[in-house]
Amino acid sequence: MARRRDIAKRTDAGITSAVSAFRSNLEDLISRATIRTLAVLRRDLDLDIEGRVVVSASNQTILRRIDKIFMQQLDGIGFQALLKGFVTSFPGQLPVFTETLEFINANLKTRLPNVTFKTPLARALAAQQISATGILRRVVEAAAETAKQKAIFSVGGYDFEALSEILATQFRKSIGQAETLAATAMAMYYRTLAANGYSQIEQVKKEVRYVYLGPLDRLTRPFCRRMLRRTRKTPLTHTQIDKLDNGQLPNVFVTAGGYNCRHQWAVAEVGTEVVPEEGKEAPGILQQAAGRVGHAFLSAVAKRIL
Amino acid sequence: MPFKITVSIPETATYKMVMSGKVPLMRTDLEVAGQREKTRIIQRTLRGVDFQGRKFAPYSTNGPIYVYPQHRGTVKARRAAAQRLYRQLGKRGTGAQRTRLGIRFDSYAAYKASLGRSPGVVDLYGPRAPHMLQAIVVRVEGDTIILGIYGEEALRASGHNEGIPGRLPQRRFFDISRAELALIKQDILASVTARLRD
Repeated sequence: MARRRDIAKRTDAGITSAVSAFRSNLEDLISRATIRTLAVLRRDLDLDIEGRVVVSASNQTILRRIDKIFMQQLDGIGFQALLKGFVTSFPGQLPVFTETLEFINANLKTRLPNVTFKTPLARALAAQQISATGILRRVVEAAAETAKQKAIFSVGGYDFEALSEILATQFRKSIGQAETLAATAMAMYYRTLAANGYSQIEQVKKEVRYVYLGPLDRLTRPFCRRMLRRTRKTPLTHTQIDKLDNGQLPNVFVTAGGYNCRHQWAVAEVGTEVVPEEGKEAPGILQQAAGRVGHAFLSAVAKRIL
Repeated sequence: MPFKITVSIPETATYKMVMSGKVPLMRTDLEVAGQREKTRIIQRTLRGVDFQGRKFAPYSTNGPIYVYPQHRGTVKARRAAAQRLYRQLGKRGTGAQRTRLGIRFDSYAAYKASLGRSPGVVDLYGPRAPHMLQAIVVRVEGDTIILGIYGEEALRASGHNEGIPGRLPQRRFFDISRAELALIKQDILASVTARLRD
């Protein structure tokens, strides 16, 4: 019950996912870093009587460092920790890494010695986490760089207040982009997990085919529409999928439609749809299990059936 | 706390089903069956039906509701985000109205309809990634297939699956019916048969 109240609270706060929480925290950090940066500039810049930024060598030197000043302020209030916290939440989607690694170890004919090791999957996922951190950081750095360019060109023309507005606007432009990248990174992480499962089947089965699944609505991009239509008729092999190009990101098997894509590849399901009986509402397996309600474990029931 | 369904396929029972000789069950036989069940779950959820083939509880028709694409930031940025979403959703026939920082809809059902989904179909998808249906993980341990949703998505999945009194109706998408269990068995049999043929 407490968990459901958590959901309601977080929905009310407009934070319904790790990505939303990331965005919210990033906005907070950027606001605070902006204020600190402007405070440093106000302290260090030479202004004339009317508050305009004086054209001087020392001011130019300071303005050329705006991006570094901003990133220093951001790092000083926990930006790197925010990035790390976000990407390390990815493994929460997996059965804990160690659990997975132990499971793999248990299935090897010759058990590996009891040392820390990384499987190819763990390495791939770790690499993806590092990539996500780097990319998210570069988005903010790029915004800071653009802010610097605008500030340099504004010398002599703007007063400090106008300069502050320009910088604040520019710093904030990174938030939307970072959110999109964060959502994309998380979705790619899920698809990488799925791809790992598929690869184990592909090693044994001759031809595994995949269908493209996800919503079809006004927000669906043309590539995804085509894939939904195409794979409904004829599911694709991994080799065929690897040749596709979504026009945004490489490796369509993991990136699907690209940024912020809601779709995924799934092992093809042909001719095995479950057609409900007309007018009948048979109780579910879980309702039949004596006294058991909720997401859980059908093993006892499955054994009875089989 | 992960959110999962576990299906145990006793090796002895499958052994009897498959043949009269001595054919071992391989991990990939269960992996294939688990992945196909995952596909079924996603496909029927997209059709708007639960694990028993019953239509999900409809979206709320109470209203109005206000959708704010961006909850924080400057007024200018929030207005721009609202305008972008408004342009995407289209204006004709959706009942959408721009407000200062968001978009007004007559109800949540009207909002979902404005996204252009099939009318009346409740598919649990929103306008953003990542989604809980992207987070379904399939694992095999011994003779057990485990389908799970882990981490933060588990919380949301649990809310939809169990319902939240007064807030969210129950829409049981993450469960397995007897008919689907039979299909899982079929998939295992088909996998073993294909392996024997190769």
